[in-house]
Amino acid sequence: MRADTATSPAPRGPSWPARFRRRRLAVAVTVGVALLTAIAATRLVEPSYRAVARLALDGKTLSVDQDVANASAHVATELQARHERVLVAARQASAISPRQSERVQTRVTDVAVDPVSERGVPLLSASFEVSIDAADAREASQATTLLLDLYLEDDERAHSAPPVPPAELVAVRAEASRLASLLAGSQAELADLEREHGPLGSMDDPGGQLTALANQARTLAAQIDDLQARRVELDRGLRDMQRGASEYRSNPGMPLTSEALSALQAQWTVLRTRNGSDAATVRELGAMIEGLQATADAKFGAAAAELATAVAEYARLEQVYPLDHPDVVRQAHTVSALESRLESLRVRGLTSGDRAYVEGLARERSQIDGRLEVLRERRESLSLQIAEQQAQATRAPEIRQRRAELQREYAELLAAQQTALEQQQLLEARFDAVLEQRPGRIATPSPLEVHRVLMSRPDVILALGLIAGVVAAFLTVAVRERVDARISGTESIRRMQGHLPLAEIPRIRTA
Amino acid sequence: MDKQTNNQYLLRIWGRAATLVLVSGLLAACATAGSKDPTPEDLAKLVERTINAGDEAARRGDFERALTHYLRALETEESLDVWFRVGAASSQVGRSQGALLAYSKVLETDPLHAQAHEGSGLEHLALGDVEAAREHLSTTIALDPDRWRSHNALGILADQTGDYAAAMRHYEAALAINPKSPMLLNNIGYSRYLSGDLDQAARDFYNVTRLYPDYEAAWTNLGIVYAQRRWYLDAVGILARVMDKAKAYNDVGYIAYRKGDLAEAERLLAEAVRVSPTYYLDANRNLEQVRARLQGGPRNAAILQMPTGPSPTLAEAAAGDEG
Repeated sequence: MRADTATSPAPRGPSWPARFRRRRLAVAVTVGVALLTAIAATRLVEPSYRAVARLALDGKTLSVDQDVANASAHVATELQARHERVLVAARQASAISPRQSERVQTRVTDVAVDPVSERGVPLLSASFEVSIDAADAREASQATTLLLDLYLEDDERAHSAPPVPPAELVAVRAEASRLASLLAGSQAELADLEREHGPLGSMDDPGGQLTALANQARTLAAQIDDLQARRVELDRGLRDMQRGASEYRSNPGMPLTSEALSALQAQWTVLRTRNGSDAATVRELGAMIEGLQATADAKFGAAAAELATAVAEYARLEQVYPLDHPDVVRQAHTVSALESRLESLRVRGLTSGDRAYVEGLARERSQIDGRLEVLRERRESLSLQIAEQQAQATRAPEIRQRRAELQREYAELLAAQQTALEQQQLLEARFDAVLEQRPGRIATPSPLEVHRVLMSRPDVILALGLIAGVVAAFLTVAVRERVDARISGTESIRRMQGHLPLAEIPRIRTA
Repeated sequence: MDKQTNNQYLLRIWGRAATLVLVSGLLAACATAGSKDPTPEDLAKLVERTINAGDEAARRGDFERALTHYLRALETEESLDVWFRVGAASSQVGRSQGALLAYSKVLETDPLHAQAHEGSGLEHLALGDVEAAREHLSTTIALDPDRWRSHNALGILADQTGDYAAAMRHYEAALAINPKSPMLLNNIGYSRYLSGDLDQAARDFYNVTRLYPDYEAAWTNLGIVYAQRRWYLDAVGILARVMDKAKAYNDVGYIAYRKGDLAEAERLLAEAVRVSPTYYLDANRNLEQVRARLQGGPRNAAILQMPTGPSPTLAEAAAGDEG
């Protein structure tokens, strides 16, 4: 490689280091060419005028789902939408030509946010410019004025007409309404079926329903049996308690015993519970019992007095005779007999607790017939239900199928309605957001301005100028390197001699 | 008593007496062989010694020996006094026929012999010949109003006929003569018992037991009176003083049964069975009968064993234990 290098030197011409070395020249040529190109374009291109209208947007609100941090973007979107509507209106009205419409420009110059306004929502304010370039200043002014009018009309229209719900929302509303109507019809049909054939739940398991009704009937029958048994028991108990009372009443000469008095009192209590205290029989029996008790008390008192006398006599005899004397023994037996007689004359009737108990039994006995009547009616009703259930069990498959169809239809309608309602809810929310959102009012705080535009399309001109400048700078540097014979650096030596120098004095930077 | 029976009885008595006389004669002949015949004085002395030996035996209570001596004396000399002694001794040994024969011999000799009439009346009473007894006893009272046993016997006869007032008069007359006789007091109580005056009867029996605690008849009668008053446990307590407790329960149980107190009767008879140390046949039979009645069985009181009932002490009256 080294031999090749030595035998074939590299061609002459400017290298990149050389170009870098002449950078000042290149920049100067580039800038100069670009400036010359711009000046030439300005002089050569046809002069144009720009009409600028400054507009203000006040009171625009943000919806809840819009971020205040992106206020400029929201304003730009809003203004872009308005601008497009205005341009459409302008084209429709042939107010501006298509060429003019291409030269219309908008620019947002300022955006201000009031995060906590009096209305409680963030309020946006913006300033923007609308400009039209034209060769004639008058033409630009007229077109811009026309656009301003269209801006104001659009703003007026936006605030005068209520927001129109989107078509999708209208369609969803109609669908939801239709489904609701169908659902009501299906529900009514199910209700009719249930009204006609009884509870639809009973169709699911008619055998089970029958078993349940039969169980209820058995329970009812058991309750009736229990009540009847209780009635018999009560009748027997009350009869036992009153045993002897009627016999005594028919034969009042019989000696009154505790049993007889208790029986009479029990009978009186039962009669009073059954017929009330004012019934003649009750009053008559009560008076009889009081008389009997008075007589018994008198007899008891006399016997008690007799016993007291006998006891005194016994005490006397005991003092006179030994205890085994016949008179003492006889008197002891007399006292004992009198004591027994006194005890037999002691007529004890029912206590208050006993009377309450008898009264409770009699009341229960009175109520038991009513309860039996109710239970029997329920049993008859249950028998009818069982018969009806049995008839339904026969028709159950057909009715069940019909009901299943209705239920399926109902479920489908319900699901569709649910979906429609969800969609409607979503769209309504969006529409509500739109309703809540205020686009703001357009105002023209300053008059229209028309001024001449020095450079039409300066970006293009500057770009072309720069390209021409760079080309000119490249060519200039190449020419200078070609004509310059001075050695400058090891590269110059290698190009001239074909190989590198033997040594190189380093450049030492000193302080 | 018919004449044939009397003759047979006399033949038997006289046969026995002849045997005794024969044996005695042989012994006497052996002892006095070769001696001369006894004089009337010797015979009188022999009779007197024989009678004295009989009296001595009677005082000892050996009435059989006393009767033998009296019959020997009668062999030697038939006297009214000896016949009377034969009658009394025969009564004591229970030979009423012999006693009646002896008394009749006395009365043949002396129809006004009050004691013979009395003895004959008591024997007739013992034999159940009420009319003959009443005749002899009335004659006795007529001959000697102080014969208290005759009054007592007439009182018993009056009780038997239901003439309790007459009976009471006879008893009181007897009691006036012999006021310390428990028998008379007992019979007075019995008469009152028969008349229905149970309270006074009980008092009379009780008084006898107070005066003569060993006089069993009074205790028995007092217990029976208590039982009749339905004081059954008191009656058992009284009767148990003179008899064993089981018998007392049985007797009182029987009275309770007769009075219709079946439950009491069963309890008392069961107690009699329980307290008896041995198998008490009568009480068990009575108990079975009472239980059969309680269970609705037929009434058959005759099966019940009759207990000791209240009664006058006739045997004692006839025996003349009080002189």
